[in-house]
Amino acid sequence: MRKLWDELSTAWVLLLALVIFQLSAAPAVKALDEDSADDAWVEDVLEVQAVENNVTIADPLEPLNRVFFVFNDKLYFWLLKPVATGYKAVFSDEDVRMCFSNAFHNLLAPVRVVNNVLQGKMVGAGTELAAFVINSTVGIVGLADPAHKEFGLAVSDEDFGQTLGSYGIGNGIYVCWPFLGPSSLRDTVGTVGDAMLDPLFYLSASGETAGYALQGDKQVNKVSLNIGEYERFKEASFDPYVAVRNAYVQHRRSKVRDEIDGAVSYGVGQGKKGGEKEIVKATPPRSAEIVVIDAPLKKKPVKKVSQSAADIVAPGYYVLVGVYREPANIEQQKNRLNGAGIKSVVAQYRRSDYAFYGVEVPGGGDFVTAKQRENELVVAGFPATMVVRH
Amino acid sequence: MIRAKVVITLMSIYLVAAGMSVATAATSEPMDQMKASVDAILNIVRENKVNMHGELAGSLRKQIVDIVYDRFDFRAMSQLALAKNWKTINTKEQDHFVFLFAKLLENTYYDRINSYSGEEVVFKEQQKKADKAVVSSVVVRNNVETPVVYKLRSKNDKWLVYDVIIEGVSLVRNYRTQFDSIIEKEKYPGLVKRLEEKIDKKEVDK
Repeated sequence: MRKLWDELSTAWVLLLALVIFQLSAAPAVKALDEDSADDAWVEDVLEVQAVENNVTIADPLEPLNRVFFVFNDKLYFWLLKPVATGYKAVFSDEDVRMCFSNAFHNLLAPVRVVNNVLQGKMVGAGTELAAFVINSTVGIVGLADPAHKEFGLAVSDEDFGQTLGSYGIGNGIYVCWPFLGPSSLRDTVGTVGDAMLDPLFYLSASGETAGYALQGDKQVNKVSLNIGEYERFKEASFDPYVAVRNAYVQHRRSKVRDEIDGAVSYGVGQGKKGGEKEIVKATPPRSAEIVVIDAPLKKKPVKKVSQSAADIVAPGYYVLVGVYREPANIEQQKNRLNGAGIKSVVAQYRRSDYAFYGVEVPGGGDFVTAKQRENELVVAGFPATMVVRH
Repeated sequence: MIRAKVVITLMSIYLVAAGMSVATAATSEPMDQMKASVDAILNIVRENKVNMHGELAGSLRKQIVDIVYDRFDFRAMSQLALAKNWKTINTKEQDHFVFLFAKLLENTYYDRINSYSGEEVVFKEQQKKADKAVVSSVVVRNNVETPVVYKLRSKNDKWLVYDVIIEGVSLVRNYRTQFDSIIEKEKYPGLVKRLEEKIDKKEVDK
């Protein structure tokens, strides 16, 4: 760390000087009318925000809540984090922990199905039900997530708190529960309701040791996948209690309004300036349309592939599918791979301004070797999320 | 615990928040400009990280930070985060605040970048009206998608970010509630002191 800082310091001083220079120079140059135009713009945005979503919550229990907040904080640093770190060392492969996480998520399908129905979201309920069936069978008790990966079923994450919210019930007051963390009166009722549909709840309630063990594993597994996130959040905030409370309220509000997934639901606001609202959707990359070509980066497609790049290589190989916009980037990636002794770019598909392509990489039977290979490729610039195992 | 998701989201905001410069506005579409910035930063990270858990060489910080400063309107973010309190401080104090707030966001963001481990950023859509735009994206890691939405304003044909919303949590609003509560208890100088301490601490830690 110290050494790094030494290296950094020169560049740092330069940067600092530059920033200071820019900041001190800017206001002097800036014309007065631009300043007032800025002010008007800011007023406008603030006004829009105030009307669009007033995200505050009453917190009459603040003194008590703060006590529990500190309790949870200590619980995390003294107990959960050390345990999760040890756990992480045992299950060092993140994929394994993701599998556990999938399984726990799958167990809560009844909660999501019922709440989708309660909110009149029949499509969402159907999707969740289908995902539950697929993942419980093909996905081996939910360890894998083929419903999402292979069948493209999107999660429609609903809980009873959101259901109550969709009925127009407000948050009530803010509550920070020991162990459970931030909640509101409404969401606490929701959590209790959802527990009635949680198999793990019944298992623990019946006094089964397995129930407690699984509940514990669920928490620890979750923490192990997110170590460092809470620390960074705390580091970036001035009053972590207020920051968490506000983040909770904002997050839940957007969940109730189902606006998390898109820009459209956020809206650009009314504002004072007129003009037509215009929506543009990005073309989603579709791996199903990969086309194999003889030689990399040459013209003629010779074979259309129906499912994914996995269909076009022999078993025991890894296929990486990259998405790049610039032909130059593709060349660069190719050269990098060739340099690393990986010769074959086996698939490429181009559409307007995107290019997809795949490379085959010998995986072998040894999982560790294959995993290392994958890491090498990630370092080489390939997206880890687009690795297709075969 | 604690809706770790929210936390992740907030943090990934910073991650996504990145870049630009290389963009040189090949197009005036907000989504394209935002994507160019993010891609530029991701490229620097991918090309220079020795492994997924390694640290970036110090000299790269400037490259990344330049891209961030080029795409983010820290002044607007400061004004929005201080809201009614912005008017109560003088021009010099305002400039100083912008400097501190930008610095804080820069540090946080750079930490985030340093912990990069193969995440992908997929841009989804943009909504545009007059001089305002909303661009939505997701950060994908291990098939877990974290939605990140940017709010931008157009200034001289360039789209600049004035808020980032991670999993429904607006960065500017989150800071506003904290700043409000600090100013209420410790007045404005108290807030400045807190900002300075946080930034100093960071410098010492390094």
